[in-house]
Amino acid sequence: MLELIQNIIYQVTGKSGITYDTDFIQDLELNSFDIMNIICAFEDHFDTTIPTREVWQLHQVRDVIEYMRQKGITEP
Amino acid sequence: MKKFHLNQVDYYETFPAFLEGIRNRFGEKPALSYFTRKKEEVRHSYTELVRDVHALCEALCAMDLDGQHVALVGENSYEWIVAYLAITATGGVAVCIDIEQPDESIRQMLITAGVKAAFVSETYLPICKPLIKEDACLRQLMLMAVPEGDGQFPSLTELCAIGREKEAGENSLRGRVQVDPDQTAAIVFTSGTTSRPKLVMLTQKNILQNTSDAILYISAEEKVFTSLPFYHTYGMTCAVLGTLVRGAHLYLNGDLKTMMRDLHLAQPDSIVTVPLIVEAIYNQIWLGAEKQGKARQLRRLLKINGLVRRLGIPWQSKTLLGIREKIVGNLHIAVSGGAHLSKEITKDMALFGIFILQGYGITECSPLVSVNCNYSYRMGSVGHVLPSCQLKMVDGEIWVKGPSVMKGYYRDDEATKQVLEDGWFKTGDLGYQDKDGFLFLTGRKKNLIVFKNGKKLSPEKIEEMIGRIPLVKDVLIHGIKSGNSADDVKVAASIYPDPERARQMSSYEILEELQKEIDRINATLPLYQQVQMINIREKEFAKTASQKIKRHMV
Repeated sequence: MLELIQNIIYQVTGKSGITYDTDFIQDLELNSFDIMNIICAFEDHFDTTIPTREVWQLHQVRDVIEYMRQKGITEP
Repeated sequence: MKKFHLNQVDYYETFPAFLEGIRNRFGEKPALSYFTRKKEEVRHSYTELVRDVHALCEALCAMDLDGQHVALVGENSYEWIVAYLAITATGGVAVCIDIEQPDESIRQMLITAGVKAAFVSETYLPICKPLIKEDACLRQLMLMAVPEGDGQFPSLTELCAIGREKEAGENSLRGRVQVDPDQTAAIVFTSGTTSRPKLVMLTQKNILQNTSDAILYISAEEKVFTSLPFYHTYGMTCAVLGTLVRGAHLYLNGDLKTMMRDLHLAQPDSIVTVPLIVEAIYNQIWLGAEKQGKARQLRRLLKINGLVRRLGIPWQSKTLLGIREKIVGNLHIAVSGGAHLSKEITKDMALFGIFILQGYGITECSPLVSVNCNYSYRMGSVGHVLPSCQLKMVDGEIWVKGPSVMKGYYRDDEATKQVLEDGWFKTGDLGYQDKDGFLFLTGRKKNLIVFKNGKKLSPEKIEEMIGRIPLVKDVLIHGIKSGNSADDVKVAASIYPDPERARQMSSYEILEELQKEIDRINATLPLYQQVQMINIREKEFAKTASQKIKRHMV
């Protein structure tokens, strides 16, 4: 899953070196538009919808992985 | 003052007249479009739009909701616009709720504005539902963007069907409604200079005058795209109503997640937006060039093109246009407001063939005060003042008078008196006009932090929240520069800990404790308002005689 997230973030923002602890705002200095673009790429890849209000709770890469696990979203 | 070309535009004083006017003039022309998740375009003509609005008006009258305060709580959608127009055309007040706020703030906004009913989208139904009680003011919810109601509350689609039946009968109620140009049409929330938001009352004439005035200056061509939230006046007046009043075609998007996708699909001529999005498009162009291994070539071309233009030769590189077309298609005009956009990006975007028109507005002025025109433009300025606006500078502060200036703050005479004087609205912004009439902004009198997405934050709001942490004696919230652009701001907190409580703690323990508490506060705030940096002070803040922190000393 981490590798997939790394790929998506690279495709959307051109940023690399992502780990579980990477914080989207503090470490990658992404703005709300970048974060939404990443989430859009996630939604397309997993064919799912993540409500915008829930996106703001996902600060680090590990939060995204945990969110996917809780919602039962797996790789297609 | 410089003379320049003005566009032709119709003026209306009330929403019923506006609806009749656009239906009669533009009929079957496409009015509004959006894309489904499957990327299919849903398009509504002017005739369909006005037919839906009139049907909903009928239903609102039948429910005794005409003339009442009715809220809109939801993401941008076709139905949001239909509901807004129906509320205002039945003499009601559309209470526009900022949906990025935490759940409790949304409920508080509904209560403060004395809302009798609300149109809500599915996401916000659980937030609004607890307010429906026997003795409460809010007594009716209606669902937007879903075909059917949930059993308890009807959907807007169902209400339109009921309204259409009533219209067909002999007991049409809509025609009995009388609407006055000076009655309140909308209540919009704005960040005031205190921790409480202000409720701005805008009349029918305020909004419609501003809508048409904006069009005198801006030629945004046939296909317009916007992702601005409609609950702000900039989105509703300038993007939605400004497009409809001249019979153009608006593509609406309400989700940053699908903005780039929809922009590709829509292929608009122009976009009404904020600096955050202009910069995002700019970054996308660069990212695209980097992926194609053309970044170096792009930098060289920009430099050459810039030099040629400085010599006064209007040469446009076909390669640069080609790069732009690949990323954003035919988009060649961007109206940007809400915050400052850097000169460098404005210049580079012009070389890519995207002409940026910066403007200046404030909610209390419905919102537009000035904007650059296609035919008269100055980089770095926020353009010409609208023809119906008078402007004067008082100690460097911009004061505005005219038909777009608000009626006042809802149920807050004290706050209204502070900002309105003999019809002049004190904007709190500092600036000057040059000899040609171009307005330049130089700063702010108020303590507002302005973000690239055009949103504003009153520091007092966050200070009040952090001030409740027992370990905090004093706190000051301020914006600090982040990233490359001057207006790329993040929120920082300077904290002076309570010396009594902090005595036994190490600096590390203090920071850890504060970080934990601030994380908890951040979880209740929209992303752009979250505190991203904490600075612990060892000395107390310098204070005024009335014990207020001297902000400029920090």
